[in-house]
Amino acid sequence: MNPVHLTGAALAALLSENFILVNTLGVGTRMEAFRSPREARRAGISVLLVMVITVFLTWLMDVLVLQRYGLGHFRTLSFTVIALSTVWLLRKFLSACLPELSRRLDGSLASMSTNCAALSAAYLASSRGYELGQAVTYAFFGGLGVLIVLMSFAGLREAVDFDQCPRLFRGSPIALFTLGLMALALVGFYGLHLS
Amino acid sequence: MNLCPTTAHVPPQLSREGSTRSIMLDVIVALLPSLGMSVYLFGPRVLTLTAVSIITCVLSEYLYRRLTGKPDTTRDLSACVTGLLLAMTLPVTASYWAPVLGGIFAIVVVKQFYGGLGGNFMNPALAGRMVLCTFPHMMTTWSDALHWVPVFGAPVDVVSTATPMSYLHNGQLPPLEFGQMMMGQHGGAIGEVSIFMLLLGGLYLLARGVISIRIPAAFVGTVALLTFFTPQAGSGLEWMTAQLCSGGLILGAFFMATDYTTSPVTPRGHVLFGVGCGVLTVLLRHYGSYPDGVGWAILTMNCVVWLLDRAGMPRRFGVRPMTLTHQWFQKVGRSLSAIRFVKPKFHHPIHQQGTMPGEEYLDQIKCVLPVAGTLLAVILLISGVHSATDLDTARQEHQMEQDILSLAMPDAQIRTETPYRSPNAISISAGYSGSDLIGYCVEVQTPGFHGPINMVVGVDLDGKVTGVAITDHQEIQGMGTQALTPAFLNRFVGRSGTLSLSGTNAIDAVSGATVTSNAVMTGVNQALAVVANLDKGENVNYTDGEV
Amino acid sequence: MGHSFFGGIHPAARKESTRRKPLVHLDIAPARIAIPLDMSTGPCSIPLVRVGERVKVGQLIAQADGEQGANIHSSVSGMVEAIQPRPYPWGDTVPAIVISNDGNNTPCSNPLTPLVLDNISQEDILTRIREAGVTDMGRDFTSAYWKILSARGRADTLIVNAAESDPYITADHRLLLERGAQILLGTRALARAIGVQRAVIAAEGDKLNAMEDLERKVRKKDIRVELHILPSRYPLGGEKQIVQAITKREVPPQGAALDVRCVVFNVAAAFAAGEAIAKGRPVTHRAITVSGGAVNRPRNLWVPIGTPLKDLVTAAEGFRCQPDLMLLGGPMSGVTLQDLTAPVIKNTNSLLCLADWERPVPQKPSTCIRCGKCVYSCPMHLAPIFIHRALRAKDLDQLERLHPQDCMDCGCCSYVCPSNIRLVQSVRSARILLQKEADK
Repeated sequence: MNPVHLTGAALAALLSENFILVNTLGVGTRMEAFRSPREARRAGISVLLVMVITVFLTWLMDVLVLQRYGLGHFRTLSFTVIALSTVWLLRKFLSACLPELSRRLDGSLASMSTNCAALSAAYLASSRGYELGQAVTYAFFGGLGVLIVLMSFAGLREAVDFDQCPRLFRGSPIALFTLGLMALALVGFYGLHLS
Repeated sequence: MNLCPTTAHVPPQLSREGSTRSIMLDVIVALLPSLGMSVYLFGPRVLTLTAVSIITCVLSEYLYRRLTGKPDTTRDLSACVTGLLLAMTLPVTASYWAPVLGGIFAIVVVKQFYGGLGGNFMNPALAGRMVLCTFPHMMTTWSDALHWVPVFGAPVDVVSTATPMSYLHNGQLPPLEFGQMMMGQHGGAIGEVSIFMLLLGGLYLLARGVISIRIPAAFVGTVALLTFFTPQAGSGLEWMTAQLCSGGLILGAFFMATDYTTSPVTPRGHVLFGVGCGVLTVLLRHYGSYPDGVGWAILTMNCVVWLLDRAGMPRRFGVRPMTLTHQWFQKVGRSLSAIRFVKPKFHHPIHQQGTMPGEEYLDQIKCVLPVAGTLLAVILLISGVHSATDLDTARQEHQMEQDILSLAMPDAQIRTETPYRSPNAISISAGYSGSDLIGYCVEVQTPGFHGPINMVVGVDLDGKVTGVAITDHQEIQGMGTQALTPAFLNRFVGRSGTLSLSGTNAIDAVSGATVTSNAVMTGVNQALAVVANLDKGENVNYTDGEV
Repeated sequence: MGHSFFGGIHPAARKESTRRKPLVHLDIAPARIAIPLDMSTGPCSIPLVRVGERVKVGQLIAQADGEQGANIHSSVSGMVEAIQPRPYPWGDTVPAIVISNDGNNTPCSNPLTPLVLDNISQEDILTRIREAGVTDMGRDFTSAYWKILSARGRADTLIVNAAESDPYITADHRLLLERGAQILLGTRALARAIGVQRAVIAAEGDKLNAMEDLERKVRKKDIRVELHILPSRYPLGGEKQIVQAITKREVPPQGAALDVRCVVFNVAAAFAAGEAIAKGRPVTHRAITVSGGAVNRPRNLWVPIGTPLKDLVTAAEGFRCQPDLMLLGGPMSGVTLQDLTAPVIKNTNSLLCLADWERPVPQKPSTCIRCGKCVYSCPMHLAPIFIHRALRAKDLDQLERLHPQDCMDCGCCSYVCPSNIRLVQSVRSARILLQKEADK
């Protein structure tokens, strides 16, 4: 687990393989997350939490159970179950023990059940054969990348007037254009490697 | 009674000379020396390319505004400036449709869809250029200085050259003197070669008050500082000078990053913007796949300009400097401290009269039952399908294994895992023919242009390569896949030692796919080193040198 | 050298036409003057004369009402014609004492006696300043007595503001140059009256000749008054800016100079204080610049208070062409003149008659290009671009965060905007909007 590898995985998750802009995963967060910076912040933090916990648990499941006993064909099912139960457990835990945090994050967490970001992070970590440290770093910075992109987009939405385009493009199309332009900016980071 | 002159107050009766149009004119004038120098270096094609670019931009803006019924804005010359800047980022060998495509994209999509001048959040000229970077071959054919390229027709007799940026990207100092770098006697895009002329233009803009020194100084300063302390070849000073004078840094810092609409509005925001651009540029230049990171860095920072504006708001007059930060921290602290830990209450179901003991727990189980049942059903289904198709899957996997083996080590029939582990290899397996050990197949991963490349390299017991099989890659057709063809991979068969792209023990890279060829070669070197050090039984210490 | 402030602009000074012209009396004395009774922040002064009475120069004709009021003295000799509402320079009418001038300039029979500053007590100075009707004769017209009283014990620096950063105006410059000794005396008097140790006269770099002259006097007589020359920049003449430039302290939002222990007086007020003590003369005249491309002969005049403004135009030999705009105060933040029959009051320092070629052709405002020049040039650290946007979007939360109430109406933002957006109006509207919300 040398630091260069970890930094490489971190930078990759943040920039060159940003979940929303490069891998186009995790765009399925709820619409409010794209509207105001506050909601975006909350959605991003939920993604971060869920991703890290999910990847940790799935890594354990993968290495300790699936690979050891040759049950690789249960990967999809077990990862999905773990992802969903993580979200459910987290929500239950927050509503029971941290009610204020639950009040703020519950909506975003609920939408995480249908978000593919955590599951895909688990998959990628597994298929690339990351070690535990690398996998958790990858998940953490991947979540961070999602948080930054969501907040950037929400902030852009407030600063830039999206209704100036032709009527046909108003609403979702121009929003997707904007995301696409942001993704265009990240093309330069493809293949970024630290070694 | 008190009369104060508030009711009759009027706006200032004086106003500065100058309008948006005059500012744009200033920018055009500032770019003319560089343009002139380029004509001298690259020929009159520069002028025709620029003309096409400007005409496209102005025309697309005029047509768009006309067709959508909005007032015409071509008079403010901003479309001209976009066209000129776009042309300056192209190589002189670019085809004529390139500025047309880039220009239309820049004006219509990036600028007009967001409301025209003042509404866009991304630099239109840069965004147009980045779209053109998806035609990488066209954008990376550089003509050498003072070899004029014909105005019409495909440039066939182009003396293509490696630009200083490509030298730097490979970790070498370009073989140019300072004077040559300043005046632009080397390959590169039209507008970015002549540093001296660009600096003249920048000084003109500063003198006219069109731009402030903050962004260029922060940008160039950060790049200078970072490259001075992390040279990859030569001394810090040489590396820094070469980095500052090559690529689009000066053009970007003075003309692109300072674009009003897409840079922050506040003075402190300017500095943050420049520093951020500088950091990203150095990161991309040292570790990225594309040689020049300036454009990408500026575009990325454009996306967070709103955040920099907020962070850089001037301190309120009369209020102590750190008050706002202090207040922000307090607000965050208050918000977080509202989150308190509460002891959870566990609800035990209450035993009711007239029911069997334990029945209350049944209700809870009833809720879980459907989910558990589905889960069980799915598990059974998967197991069933798996056992039914197990054999087929195994056969398929075996077939894939055989394919890989035939590419990597044709003489071997089976491949088995070995207990060797190395941090530089994903797995090390041994290849057997019958019961004889033929060699080792090492699976390695190296960074390619667009992502990591996984390959299996077969090395026999004499330390010679028996074959290379690519198992996974993310290269794009035409942009790297030429180096993944069997023809190229065959060049590695029989080689040993440490390979490099030039000098002794050289492998010819595929032209147009240098990075990918390099990646494959690095992988092979890694595998050879791993096998060479297997006997030692320790971790292999492989460093990427001699490239 | 003083410290500078953030922001500000460098408009063309346009002072060449009057800079070298000395202060002179009006060639033709005004036939009739109308001295408004409301020339300070307190209530109107109470008239002491009746219609038909004969008055002389320097005679007390109205008494200050309370501590915030100021005494008013006649600036000509003649007969009181009426005490009636008369037009005020900024529109509306105010009760004024109308005196017809007999042209003799007979001095008052019981004038105030000249005093020697070193021999009198602090209270004597204060009484004399009050008796002479000295007000702060700059933009704001608080009575000097009230200002000194409120500053006692709370201030440690006195700043005499001779910055005059507005284009066209040179009245304070000529005053500094020609009446330097009185100004120094007045500064010392004010400093002693308030009880501050540090007295500063601050002027811009274009008044170098006057400041050198003062420097010589200061050194010759070993006077403890500091002289600061500041780099020219508009709006250096603003109170908050001069405090920041001299003492590096910033007045807190919605505060005054006293909150950072400074008192600022206009140089004309220092002069008036000096005259009141040394010569026993009350406030009867003041220095005014008549300038602009529309008058034939721009000059600096020493004008009796109450003179109708049209007499100033006559003194400048009339209009060369039809003036496009007539202003009181500088062109950046001055007030449009409604009525040329309005009188000169204690804080009028200029009459500008701008021809149409002196003003830029009014352009239609176009889209904001986010150049940020308004942010750089705002001396109050505001961000007019965001205020303008938030106002258009009616976003009250954002407007509150942007604190438009700090605006000092200097006009720098509108001056620099390349898209000709009326930023001063936007900020003003934002202020009014927030005020309405706060009142609800």
